[in-house]
Amino acid sequence: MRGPEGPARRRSGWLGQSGGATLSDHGCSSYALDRRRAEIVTAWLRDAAPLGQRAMYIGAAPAKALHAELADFPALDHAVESGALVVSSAVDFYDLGEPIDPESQLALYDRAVELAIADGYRGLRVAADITPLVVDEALRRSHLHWEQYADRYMTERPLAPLCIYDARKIPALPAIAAVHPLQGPHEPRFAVFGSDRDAAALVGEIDGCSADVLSDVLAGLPATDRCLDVEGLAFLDARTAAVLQHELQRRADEHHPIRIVGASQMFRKVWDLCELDPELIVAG
Amino acid sequence: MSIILPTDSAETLAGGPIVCHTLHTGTIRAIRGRGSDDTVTSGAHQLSACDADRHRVAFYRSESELTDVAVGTFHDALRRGEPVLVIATAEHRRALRAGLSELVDTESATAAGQLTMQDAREVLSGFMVNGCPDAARFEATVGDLVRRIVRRGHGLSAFGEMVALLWDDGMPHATLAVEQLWNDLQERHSFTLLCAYPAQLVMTDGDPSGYIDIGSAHSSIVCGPPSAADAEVVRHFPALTGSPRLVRVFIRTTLQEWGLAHLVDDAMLVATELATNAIRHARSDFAVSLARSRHGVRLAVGDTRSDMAPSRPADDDTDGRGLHLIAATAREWGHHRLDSGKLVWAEIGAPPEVAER
Repeated sequence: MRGPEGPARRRSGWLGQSGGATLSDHGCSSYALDRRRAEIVTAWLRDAAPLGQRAMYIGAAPAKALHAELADFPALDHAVESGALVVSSAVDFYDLGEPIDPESQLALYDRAVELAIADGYRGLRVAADITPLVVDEALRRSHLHWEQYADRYMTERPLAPLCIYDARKIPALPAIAAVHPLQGPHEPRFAVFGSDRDAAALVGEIDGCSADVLSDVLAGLPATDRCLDVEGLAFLDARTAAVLQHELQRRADEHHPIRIVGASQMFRKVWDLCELDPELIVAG
Repeated sequence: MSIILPTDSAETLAGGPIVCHTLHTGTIRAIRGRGSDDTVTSGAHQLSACDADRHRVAFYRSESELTDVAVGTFHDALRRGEPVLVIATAEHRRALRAGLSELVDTESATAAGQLTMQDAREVLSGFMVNGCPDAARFEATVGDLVRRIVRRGHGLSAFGEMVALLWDDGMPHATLAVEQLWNDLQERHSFTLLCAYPAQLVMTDGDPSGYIDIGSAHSSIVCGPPSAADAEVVRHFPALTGSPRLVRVFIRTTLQEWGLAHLVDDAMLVATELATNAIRHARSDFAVSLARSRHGVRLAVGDTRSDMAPSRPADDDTDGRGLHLIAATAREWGHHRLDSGKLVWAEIGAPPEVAER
């Protein structure tokens, strides 16, 4: 059941768009300068107070250094003393070097959200530097699944994390970025994110050049997802339609069927011309 | 690199204008059907009339390419009596002034207030606050400058590379925000704008994100003077994964401009398949041509690989449905091997009585 603070519709698009912060935002961005990291984190966390959320910064450095990065955070010392801002080192919050266990990690976030609410806040707004979690390529697939698992939680609970990574160490994380409704620093091509606890939305444009990324993203969808809303999909081509069908068929074979809803005229045209299974699309 | 894209080959593309464009070190030159001088003149003339060319961006690969594009654009503007505003680095102001001086009297133009040059870094410092552009300050500086010139009633052709400086400073958010401020300004004042970025700056390590983001903020992408929009339009794209999206922007903009919006979906589908093939299989930069035709529009994609003709893979192959989709969408399609590459073309559209059904 959707909680009282759950979003009616997720905010999605380019992270650079101004205004409109919500209790369940979920963003991803990168930085190539330490100064830029501080600016991105501060800008994200600055929205916590107007929303009534507790702010939390989980960074790659020791907590003391992270504190110094937030020099431009409004009334920094008071915010830290009052508990309106919490600063934590990634090493204290994650089991670095190991694949994330979605259930236990989400339980940790859930406790942090509940604690914030118990302290009188409307939820938790987090900026987390995920560089140490994904710098090892072998950990990225499990992280991709974790992001989507956690994202569905955000459709019901007031958790608003921004995941950032160091572009000097990791040139690009296209699949991980694509499972965030808000993306930066570049305008997103497409995104797959939770529209409800058991539903995902696919928005943007997909074509043959993004088919591999799409395939990775779909492979990491939570098993609990029951439908994929493509109403916000502006373009797909033959190859991406085939990738969609392949993943949907795989889900069906594994007894976790997922149906497509919100198909546009263009979507249906491509689907039909490619002679894909019409039964996978819900009419309407 | 050189791409030759003939769109008129009598055997392949019957009817329509006969124009053959060659991209070589950034200069699009008409080598048949029009003289190069005509191309610059008519292209720049189209610039002031065509919305697709309202806010152009040039990703230049060499200084001479940038000079070619800028001189071609602003020489014609000055000859028409249109004011020109250049906000550029000292190096580019010098190069542009030198290039223009060979064609027009820049001293008189400057004295008459027709040619205004300002330093990009200096103008930038007038509206940047804590690493972000301040909209009010942009309005008070750049906006005021544009407004004063436009009010004279002779239009305005502007050049800006403040955005390239911001991008080079590692500030993509600020760059795109400034592009948006320019777009906002164009909503209120009628003027054309050419932005310029060094290609290697925005396409680092094969990452197309910068190219796509910046390209999407503009009405069209050029590497040379524009071709005549009422007959045929050609654009060149790098072999990057984000290029198909830019191809779709190009197609949507052009067909809407031509009153052929009903063909946008089909043309985008076909062009995306062909562009994706050029990138994934030919691994080649490519050019896309759109030309009006009797039944709608003729679309052609040329790449530099002549040894790979489009094949028809098995129907159950994930890659194989693209050509099936092209065959089902286009009235006709085909391909031709060229000395310098290959050309795949498709005729999109239906006779009006069919399209209206």
